[in-house]
Amino acid sequence: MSFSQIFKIGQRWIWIPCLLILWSLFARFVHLGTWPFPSPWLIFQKWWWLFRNGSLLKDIGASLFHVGYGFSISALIAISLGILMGWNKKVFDYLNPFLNLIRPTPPAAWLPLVVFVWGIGLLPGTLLVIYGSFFPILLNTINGVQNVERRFVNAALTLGLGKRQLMWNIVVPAAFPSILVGLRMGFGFAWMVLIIAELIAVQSGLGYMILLSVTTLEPESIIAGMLTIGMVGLGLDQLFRLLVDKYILKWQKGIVI
Amino acid sequence: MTKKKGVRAMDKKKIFYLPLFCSILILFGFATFSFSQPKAISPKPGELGSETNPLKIGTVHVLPYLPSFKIHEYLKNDYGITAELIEISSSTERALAMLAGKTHINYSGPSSAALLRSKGQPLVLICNAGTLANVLVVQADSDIKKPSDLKGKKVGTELNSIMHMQLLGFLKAHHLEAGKDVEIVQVRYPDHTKVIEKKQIDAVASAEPYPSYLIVRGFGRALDYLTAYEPGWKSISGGLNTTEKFVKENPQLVQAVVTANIKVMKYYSENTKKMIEDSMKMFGYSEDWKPIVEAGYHNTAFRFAIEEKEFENVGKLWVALGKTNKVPNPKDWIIHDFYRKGAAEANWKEPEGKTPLLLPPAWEPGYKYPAVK
Amino acid sequence: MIRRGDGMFKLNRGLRTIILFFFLWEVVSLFGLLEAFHIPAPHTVFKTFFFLLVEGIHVGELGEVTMFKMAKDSLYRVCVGFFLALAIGFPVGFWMGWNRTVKAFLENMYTALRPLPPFAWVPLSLFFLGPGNLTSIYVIWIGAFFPISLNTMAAIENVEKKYIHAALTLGLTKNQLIREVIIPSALPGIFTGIRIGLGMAWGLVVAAEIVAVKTGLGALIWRADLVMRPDIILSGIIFIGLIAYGLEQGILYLQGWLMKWQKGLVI
Repeated sequence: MSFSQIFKIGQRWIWIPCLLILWSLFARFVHLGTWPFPSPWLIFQKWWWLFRNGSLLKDIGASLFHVGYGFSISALIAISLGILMGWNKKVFDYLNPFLNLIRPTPPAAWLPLVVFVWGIGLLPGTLLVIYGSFFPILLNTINGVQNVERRFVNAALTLGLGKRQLMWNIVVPAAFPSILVGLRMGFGFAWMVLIIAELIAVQSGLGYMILLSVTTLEPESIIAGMLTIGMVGLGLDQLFRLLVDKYILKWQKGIVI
Repeated sequence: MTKKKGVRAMDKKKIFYLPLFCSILILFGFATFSFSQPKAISPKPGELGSETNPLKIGTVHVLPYLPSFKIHEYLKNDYGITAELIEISSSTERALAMLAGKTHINYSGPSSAALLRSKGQPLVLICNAGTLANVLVVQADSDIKKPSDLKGKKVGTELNSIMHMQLLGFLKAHHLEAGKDVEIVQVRYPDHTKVIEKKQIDAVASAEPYPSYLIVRGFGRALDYLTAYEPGWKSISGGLNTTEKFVKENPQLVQAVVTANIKVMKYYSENTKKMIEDSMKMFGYSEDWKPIVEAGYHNTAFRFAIEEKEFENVGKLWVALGKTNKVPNPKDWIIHDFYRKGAAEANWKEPEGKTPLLLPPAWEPGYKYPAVK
Repeated sequence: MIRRGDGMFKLNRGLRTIILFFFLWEVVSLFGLLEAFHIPAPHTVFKTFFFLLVEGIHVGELGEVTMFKMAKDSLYRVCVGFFLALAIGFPVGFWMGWNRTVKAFLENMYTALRPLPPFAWVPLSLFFLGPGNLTSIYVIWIGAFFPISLNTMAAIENVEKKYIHAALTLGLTKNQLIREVIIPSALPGIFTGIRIGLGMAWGLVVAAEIVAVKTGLGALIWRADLVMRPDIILSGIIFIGLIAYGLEQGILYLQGWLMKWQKGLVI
């Protein structure tokens, strides 16, 4: 490999050793009281120990379950409602102002109230994830349906398609890219809200593990947990992208999300 | 002849005016003297304890720590110190805040302090803050009637807090193994009431006023007052702690806080009505919480003396839990001088009686929860 | 001809839904069905809302603190965090969009750090930065930083090459190029980033204020949780929503004003 090729590859990954060096310096000089900032080696050890333990996998599994459960329910409701609202002006006019009242409130603000009403456990956590991911999906679906090119609809009507056929064969596929953008955004939000929910209301998962690390005063576990959250989030995001690119939009070449 | 008259007349006036003048002088002098009397410490601007650099005190909304919400008045009036309250509901986070320099003195249960001390962090205990307002509450209609009924059940608490420690002591005393016979789960302190109300957890080890809320409103029943078990918590549920450095650098401020604390304890012990009024106002409870707060105070007693053995037991418990392998030496981390001096200054002896120590365990037959006024 | 679905009729429908919702809520609460769920009645919430605005609640040694003051404190933290994110995120994003090498250096780090939710930083910063303004500002900064920088980068990258070529052909210097061509055409994208960033920043206010921030809307909500007052929580949520709406409208207005100045640009 020529030098320029190596350099090109190196460019992309040089941040890792840089970060590690910075981190080690941090560990050397930053501390809380007399508590040192954990060094990368310690964190890696802790991470590995948690992994071997099985507890890390268990926590990842719990988090994935929570987010998957909440996200699928949210997607189901949001997409159906979105198609309905985008298609039918009446429904849109009825529901839109009301939803606009609720939309600006951040999901974290609802957390104490949700715990008040439903306590702790799976239900309040899922509800929060549903709320967090609902609006991006809904808005993008409505947008997608409303922006279906008029000429497609006209052509279909000219060809004599019934309303239902129109909906399923023309409108929904045409709105699909928007819906997918919404789903990807919604998933990101769902993952974010999940961590908040787990830190407070849910009794298992990565957020919970981090909370316990704070109470037992183990900053290495905190950082190990954070790394895991980031990695899993990244993995899921890339998976989403892969799925979308490869399988779903195969027939819509040239669309880039 | 007229001259003499004039002089005599003037003399008369002088004699009349003289005492008046003197009394005015005395009054004026007295007034200026008392107004300009420097308060006991009176930090200069910029110094710790002045308005721009207030003394930061960490605390939380639990009934025994009510003095912390009044202490700033006493500090201001008696010592000229400005104090700022930092409320942190988890005791671990409070301890961490102190290490980060965000608070100077903490009202905090000694559990996190003991753990941190065993890990080498320079925390010291300077005063007690009140006993036992921690209760093990079960659901009102559950069939848990005595401790052994807890087998196989879930108990919620704020992990690694003093409630957790007391729960472990309770379990040990009744031959139940934490983790095997009884599952202990983390429930955030403000959520303790909700999980019992919604029957999501079987029992909860919580701090006042939440147990009283559950009992007075009928959602829960007291199983035990978590007192007097090995590792005995007879005299503590809270304490005042600070760092070694702070004690070395600002012993006056520490003494001021401890003395003010004891004075407030004395004031509230003697004025229970005001105690309840102030709790309602300062914690922010709504009016319908009055009976709950009153019931809660049945469960609370203000204490300032530290019994070394109890605090040593905290450390032993951490070792038993495997979180550390050193028991902090009480001689190193408990300082008795401040509260002894403070008690002498405040002229207050801890009252005997009227403590939850006299309450029998709640499962004994014939037990009645203290009547709500 | 005024058709149904125009203007006032449109407003009417939405309004009807909202009024119906509140009506049902009030009726159900009057029957006492909501007490077990701790959901307060609408009239209680409104009463508490105005009480909080005018009188406020008791906070430690500060005495009574009104909701306005709390909002001011929260806004302060959000502004500091947001402007910090702008100050760092905008140049970094610009540089990444402008210079391919820089992008190659930083891109993977971005991809790695972006999925980490800002709230995940709270325990760590709590541990080492301690409770208080610093933690809140840090969390808000992290939340706003990524949308701003990534959208700026994308906006700069997507400036149509033909504009740049035309400008260079006409003999513009680099600075003029940036000022007259790049920034104006990237402005919509940059504003998208700013809008999202501001949304994230304000949305994090409750999460960031979870520990030991004494005054602030998030702190108000957590304090209400501690003393079991769901009506205060709802009042806080309403106020947060109002401010969020206000901020959103503000940014849209700013965007419209700036864009109008950039003549001939199609948004």
